[in-house]
Amino acid sequence: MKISTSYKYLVLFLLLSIFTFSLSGCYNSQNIDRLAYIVAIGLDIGENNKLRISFQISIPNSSSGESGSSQSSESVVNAIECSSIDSGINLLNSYLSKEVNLSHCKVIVFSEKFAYGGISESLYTLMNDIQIRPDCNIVVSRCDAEYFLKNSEPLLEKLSAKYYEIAPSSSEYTAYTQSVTLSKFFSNYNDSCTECYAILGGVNSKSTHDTASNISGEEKDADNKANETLIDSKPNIENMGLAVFNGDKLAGELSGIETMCHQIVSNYLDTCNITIPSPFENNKNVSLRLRLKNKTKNKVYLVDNSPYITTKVNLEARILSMDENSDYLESENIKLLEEYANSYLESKIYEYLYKTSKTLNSDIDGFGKYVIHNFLTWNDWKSYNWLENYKNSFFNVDVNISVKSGYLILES
Amino acid sequence: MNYSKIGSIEAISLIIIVILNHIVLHFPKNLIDSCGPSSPINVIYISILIFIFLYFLVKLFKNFTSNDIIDISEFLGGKFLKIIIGILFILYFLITSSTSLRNFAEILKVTYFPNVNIYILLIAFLIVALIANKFGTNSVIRCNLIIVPLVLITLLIPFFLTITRYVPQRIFPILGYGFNETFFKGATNIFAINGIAYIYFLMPMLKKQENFKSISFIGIGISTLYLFLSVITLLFSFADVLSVNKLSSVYSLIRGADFGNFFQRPDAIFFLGWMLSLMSYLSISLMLITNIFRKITNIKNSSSMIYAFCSSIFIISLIPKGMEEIRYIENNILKIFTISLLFVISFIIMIISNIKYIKTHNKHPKEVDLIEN
Amino acid sequence: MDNIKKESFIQKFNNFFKYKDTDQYNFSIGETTIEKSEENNPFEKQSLISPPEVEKKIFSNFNDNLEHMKVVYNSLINSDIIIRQFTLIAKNKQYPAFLLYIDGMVDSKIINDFVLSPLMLRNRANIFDIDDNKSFTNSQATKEKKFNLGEYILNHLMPQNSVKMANEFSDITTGVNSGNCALFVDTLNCAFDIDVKGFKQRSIGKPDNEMVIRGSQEGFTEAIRTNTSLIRRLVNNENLIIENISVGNISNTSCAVCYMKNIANNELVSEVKYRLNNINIDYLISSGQLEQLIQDDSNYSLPQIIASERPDKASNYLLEGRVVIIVNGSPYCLIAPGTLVDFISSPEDLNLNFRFSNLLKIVRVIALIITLFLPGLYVAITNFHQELIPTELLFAIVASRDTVPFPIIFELLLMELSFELIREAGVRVPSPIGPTIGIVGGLILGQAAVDANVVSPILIIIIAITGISSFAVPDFILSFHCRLARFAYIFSGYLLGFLGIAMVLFIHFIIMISIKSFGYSYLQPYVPITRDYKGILLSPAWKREHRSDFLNTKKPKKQNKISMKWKYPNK
Repeated sequence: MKISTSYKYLVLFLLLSIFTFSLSGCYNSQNIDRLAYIVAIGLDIGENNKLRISFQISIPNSSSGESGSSQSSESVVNAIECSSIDSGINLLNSYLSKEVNLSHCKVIVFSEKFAYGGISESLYTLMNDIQIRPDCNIVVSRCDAEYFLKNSEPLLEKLSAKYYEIAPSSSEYTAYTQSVTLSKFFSNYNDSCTECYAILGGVNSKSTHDTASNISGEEKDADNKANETLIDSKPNIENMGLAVFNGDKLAGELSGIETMCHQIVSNYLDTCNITIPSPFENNKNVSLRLRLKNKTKNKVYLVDNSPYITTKVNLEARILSMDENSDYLESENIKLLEEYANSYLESKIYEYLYKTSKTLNSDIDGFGKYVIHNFLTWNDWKSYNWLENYKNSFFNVDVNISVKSGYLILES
Repeated sequence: MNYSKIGSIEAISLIIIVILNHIVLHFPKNLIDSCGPSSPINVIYISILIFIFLYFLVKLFKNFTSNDIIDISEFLGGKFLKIIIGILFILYFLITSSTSLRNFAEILKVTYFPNVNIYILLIAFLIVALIANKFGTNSVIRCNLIIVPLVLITLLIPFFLTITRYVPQRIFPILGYGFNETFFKGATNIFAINGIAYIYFLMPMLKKQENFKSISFIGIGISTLYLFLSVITLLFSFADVLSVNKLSSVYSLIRGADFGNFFQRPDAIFFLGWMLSLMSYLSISLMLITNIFRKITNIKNSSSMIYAFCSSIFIISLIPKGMEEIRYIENNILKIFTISLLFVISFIIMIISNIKYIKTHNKHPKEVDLIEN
Repeated sequence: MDNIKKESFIQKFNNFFKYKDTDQYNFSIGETTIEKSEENNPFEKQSLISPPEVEKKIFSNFNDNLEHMKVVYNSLINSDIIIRQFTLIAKNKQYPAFLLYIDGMVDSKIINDFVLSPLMLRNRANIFDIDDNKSFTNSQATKEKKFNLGEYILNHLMPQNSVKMANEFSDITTGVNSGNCALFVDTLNCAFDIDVKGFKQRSIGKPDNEMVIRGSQEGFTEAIRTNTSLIRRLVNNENLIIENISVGNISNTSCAVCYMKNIANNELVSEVKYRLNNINIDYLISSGQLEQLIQDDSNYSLPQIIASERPDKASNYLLEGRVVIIVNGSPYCLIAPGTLVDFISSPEDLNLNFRFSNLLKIVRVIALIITLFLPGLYVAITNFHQELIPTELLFAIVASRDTVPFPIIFELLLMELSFELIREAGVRVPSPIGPTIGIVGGLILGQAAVDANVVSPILIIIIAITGISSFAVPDFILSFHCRLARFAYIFSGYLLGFLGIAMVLFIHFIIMISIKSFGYSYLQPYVPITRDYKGILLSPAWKREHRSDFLNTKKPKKQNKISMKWKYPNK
């Protein structure tokens, strides 16, 4: 017996509508305007050693006929005391009218005090979260995370989100910090050859300039960490230097110049500037723009179970600062300049390497991967425990800078 | 024969689609878990083993053009053996497709559909497979031909986009978790290349049977190449792949890949490709199951059995409680099942039937006593 | 009563899962294992005019013929049937005769000059003596022939170029209906079917709906002879066969099947003729009707036959090896078979440099993709996959949607519906205010809706882009199909996000693969992959050596390897 077509279509239609109604959990589940978009998260130690999480929530300006509203209502920071990240998000959900959505979170800030206590639990929780992008930046701030977020006002952009995205990219041309993402941090944390590090940030205001630490009597540029740069402006956030971890606990911090050395040694350098004392005249400086000519060659030899690490750095430089009587077309002058630059950079790199080894005991350059080929099986490597042995290492640095000419003026 | 013949490229894509689905789900991580940093060497080792196996298999099939494994087992042991082998293969396809389906549905539920019940996601895939099979076996195989290049590209892009993060030294220590694990226990990793199951059924479908050798070698070659690429990419990009077990390794690869400033998280686009590949894989499994069933029960047209087998896939995929049971089934039960069925039992059947064929051929040189379709 | 109903419901449920023998019509060329369906019994055309016992053959008696034709044509009621009785003079003898024709369909001057005047007036032929009735041939003996009036009239008295002698009434009626006139003479049991067609028709004008820049500007008209003459002039070869098949029991519409005898595949031609001969309908008015009747698969609203208004396009396809069907009364001809690649090509493609054509083809494919997927993707992404959108764009969308009271799906459907309304209204608006309605509806209403915060501006942009892309699709039926399919994508995207879109996409692929157009797979040459891969992109004009491989033509090669002999004279 044939089923008539209209009957067939009726049954099909009924089935279809039942099917769609049974999916009643799915519509309006995450409608785009029912979500509050968090742009940054900050983690502090709260009272009673609980967690204090601050969220920077972005408020989209309603356009369509109205010209831009006041800048101050563009994003707002809320802080919550809670015992874990997800309970904090839950509490925030009950406070806000829209559901919290972390898929556009650009930066995660840990405060220094929090990082000293170990961040592995928060790290794994954040990596477990489905919404958080693994390429958001991870920052350790020298002040409170909440203070950091509250003072982050974009100077040149309208949206905080864009500001957070672009800010670490300054590392490409200054090398005073490095763009560290959550996935990279997590990968380094689980790596047996290297230790993890994060961006060092702080809030730069007049009050913090007094606490700047001077290493020598001479004031050198960038020889300081975040929130110490002598910039005269409104209090605003600043990323300079790196925060170095040992395991999941914060071990120490690197200044701007030390970060530059780190980038040179581990092949992350794009371009950077150094200022060396001029070989021709006292009390004058010469600025050079460096880039990597060849990849830095690192070799690690095991001498009595202690690592002996050699680094060969090849850079090329161009002269940025000019003087009235500078003559950079003569090969002798160039050679003199190169010698001075070589010795300057070598001393800086030695300082940096011994700092990571002896003071911080944390191999953030990843020298472990140059020694792993000496081991046959995974168990041997584990029992050697490279990260513990790093503090016994000796270094030998060989810097070779080849100075090209200046930019437009070759001789004057 | 209910279906018309298919060409060589269609046959190759038939073999490839299996491994592509399993790469998305869990296979590279399984391999890395078993051998550690020496998994690329392990993959090369398995590919050599499987090419040797394939060489012998093709030779054994030479006497049996236009017969698949069911017909050969009927030739060897009569109806009894045919039914047993048929049921074994049906069970195999049922279990592999339902665990893959459940695994993928779990991934989808976690990532995009937290409020939707799991059975709705399962039904969504199965309805598509059902409708596709209603249009005939030819349409299913040809649709596969369109989908395979798409999926190949979506799997190739993350491999190349993460090249900036490669740390080649992660291949050391060279022997990984040990020589034993890499070469002896690691030989069982050959279960990863379960496209071989389709090769057993490929012979009657082909237009030109002399291409069987090249089809199987090219298909398995591309499968091993993709497996190798995926293992290498995972190993070199992430250091945490050794210690942390993630939901889907290729998905975490895409999440970590750098697409530039504007496209920030295009994972959903890749998921579109993977969903299509899973639908294609399910349709093909369903088609093969109904064809085997038709052969062992000698019915004329098995298109009504599609409903029955669809429901059984649905039920079997609901059996595991959660991810731990799924992983257990995939890592242990499927491994043993695959190796014993595809590499041991079927191979023995091929060898014995070849011996029998030579004997009968020598006895009656004029008559050729083959099963005809 | 209840028992029967229950049983039938259970039976229906059982029947749903039971195996049913497929009575699908499975015609394919070149694939030997697909079985053809059993031959339908060719049925006879039932004549609805005459009852079964009426005479079919023409009477000898003049009065019988006259009465019969008056009854047949209802000449007392019909105002334009003219019966002209006169006396025919042949060989000094007088015979009563009458002419039957339809006023308005004939050229009266021809009837006067070349039919009535030679028959009625005295002319030289009429005064020949019977003794001079010798025929001069090459053979030796010329016997004196008996005097055959019919032959005599035909050979000597009728200086008209196309005259047929007919023995049956059905031939006469067919001829009179198409504009001929019929001559009945007393004592003759045959009649003459004289071609004096002279009806007014539209002159050859521009094809209205397929505009090109470099191609010819002629288009088909409604008269079948004009159309066939246009094709004959372009093909210019004696191997072009134009067969005539009548379709429709009442209307007997003549359809012309055109093909190249030495190029087209024989099976294709016979299949086309078989389908046309076995249509049992009453009337056929347009080629659109015919297209739906002979198409392989009407379930899925995909076009399988190309319809074109341009004779140059039809000739191109003829010379490629396809079959063209022209229906009398319709300016659109049908070209079989049609694959998806053909529906994305425009007639301009062969006139231009291949690079420009390929670029335009890529643009058209992108337009096809946009018009299918864009609204569905928008709904899926904003409901399920928000992380896909770049952050600034996301904030812009959220900001613009802030004051809109409707959810996205409702907004989208509302705008789609209004776009369809505007489109449909634009078809019927009288031409002076036609463009104005489009502008008013599109721009001002849309702008007002955005200002009133009823819809968000991003949605207007999406709907506008989708609408524009649907006009960029060259084929009319294909864009209709896209309009339907778009709704399926919207609903599935709304329900299950990308999973829903993947489901509908997969099923769409499967449907397109399973469709065959006259035995050729719909997605040629991609599925199945053929040897001579000639896909959607054109090769340069000097490199088009082979005809499409899937057509299995008799002459696969159409150009020499070196087609520009002037450039390479030595090769």
